[in-house]
Amino acid sequence: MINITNLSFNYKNNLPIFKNVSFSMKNGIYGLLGENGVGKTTLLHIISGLRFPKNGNCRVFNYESAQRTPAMLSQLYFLPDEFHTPSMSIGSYAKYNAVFYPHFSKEQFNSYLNEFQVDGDKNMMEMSFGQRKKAMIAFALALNTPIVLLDEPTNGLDIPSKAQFRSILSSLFTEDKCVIISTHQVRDLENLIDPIIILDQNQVLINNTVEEITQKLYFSRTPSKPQDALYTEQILQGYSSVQINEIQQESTLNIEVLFNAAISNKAKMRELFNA
Amino acid sequence: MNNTFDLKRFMYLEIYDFVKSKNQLLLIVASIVILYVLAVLFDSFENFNFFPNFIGLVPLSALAAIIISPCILVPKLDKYTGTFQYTLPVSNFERLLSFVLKYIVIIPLLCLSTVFVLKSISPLFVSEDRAILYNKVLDLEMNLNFLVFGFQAVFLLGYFYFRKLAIIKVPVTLFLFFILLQTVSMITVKYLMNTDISYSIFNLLQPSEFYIQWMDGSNSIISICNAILRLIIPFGIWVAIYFKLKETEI
Repeated sequence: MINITNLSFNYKNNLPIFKNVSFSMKNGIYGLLGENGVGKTTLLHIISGLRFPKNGNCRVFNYESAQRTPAMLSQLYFLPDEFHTPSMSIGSYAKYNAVFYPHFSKEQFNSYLNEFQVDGDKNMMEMSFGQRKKAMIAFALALNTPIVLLDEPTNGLDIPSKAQFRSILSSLFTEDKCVIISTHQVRDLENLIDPIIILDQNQVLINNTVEEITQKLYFSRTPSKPQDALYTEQILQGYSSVQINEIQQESTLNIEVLFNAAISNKAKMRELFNA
Repeated sequence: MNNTFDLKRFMYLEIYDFVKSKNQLLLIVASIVILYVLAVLFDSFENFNFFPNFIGLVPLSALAAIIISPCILVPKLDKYTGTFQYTLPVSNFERLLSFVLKYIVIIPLLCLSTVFVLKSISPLFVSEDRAILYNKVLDLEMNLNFLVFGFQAVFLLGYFYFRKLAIIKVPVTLFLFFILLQTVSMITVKYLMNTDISYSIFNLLQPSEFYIQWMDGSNSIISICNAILRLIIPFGIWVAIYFKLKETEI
């Protein structure tokens, strides 16, 4: 679905955000993780055609994303973290915008608005940030585009709304869809995202499924600190650790610990996952 | 799917754009009408006759609205406003056509029709001799020419390049450009024709009949510059706007 080949990108200050990066994304709910300023939002901008690669290319369904052709854009929807909406209700907004997307479902849209408890007739400028976010999430998911890009979708959402978002996303996801969620709040989406992409210093550190990660890394919680752990952090019950999975033990992925381990052991991670 | 132009898609774009812009279009009409009402009031009450030619502001405001509308009718172009605009599944050609329709057709027609209606109803509100003056002054169609649309195109191009405070930066840039052009013209005429320039570069904005009176040899340069300004530049700037639309990053 998305193919990135030898991508290089930098802003005006010439500090490289991406340097000769190549990878692809197929179906799945991708978690896009990385430290502040590493390029998560920039990557989403490049995929959606809002930013152009300095070198290399990004192709979405074989269309060059930088050309922003209607054929490509109608198969993709990008919801940024912060946005400006026109002064109209979400119902009107959907009425005028959904016509550009062939698979929009009004029934799904109304259902998601009900679930989020958002009034479809209220002017979005009179809503709080969280309500507006929920309204736009409902619209984005009801478009049923094959590719959905969400930048910090749970930012601004209250606790019940985060659960509703997880529920809606897992119910609508099908094998022919690619959802990319850029987030810092991994705990909100821990059981949802698979595969996981971790960006670091103009490169991709990890781009693997949960299964591939847990085959190579072992996640444990122990009362004492393991000696050969790649990364350890103290928790209430003892220690949460990441070790190399030499004997192919099964474990449950802890995304936060994985992220910290990856940032602390970049060379080892590159070696393990050949990213 | 045609990636350059699809009529149905373009119509949907126009409908959406109209819904978003209708308040701003109403604002343009309201501004023209308010100035007209003030002019009528000043003429109606002898004690308020401070500005006898206030009615002249009405066509001026309409022309100003046409020229600067690209900078005031659109939200500032940044990541908050531009994301949905540039990820909407329409082609760059359709976006350009939408701008052309809005700024070259709809807004001028709106201003023209507003001024025309006000001109038509003037005899109801002012005396006969004032109505004759109003009829002459409120003749907007005489002032609509390629120069107006040329400046309008400059403002739209300036909106894409400057983004923030384009409404201030574009006039300043235009002024500095004309000063530069004046300097270059003076130097060129002095050294090529061995004569001093007898006009200001701002005279380029005058109709061509204005230059017949000059017999100092620089007449031909002015005529050429005038033709360029009026015909080629507006079209050229719209071509530049199309390429800028393609290159715009958020």
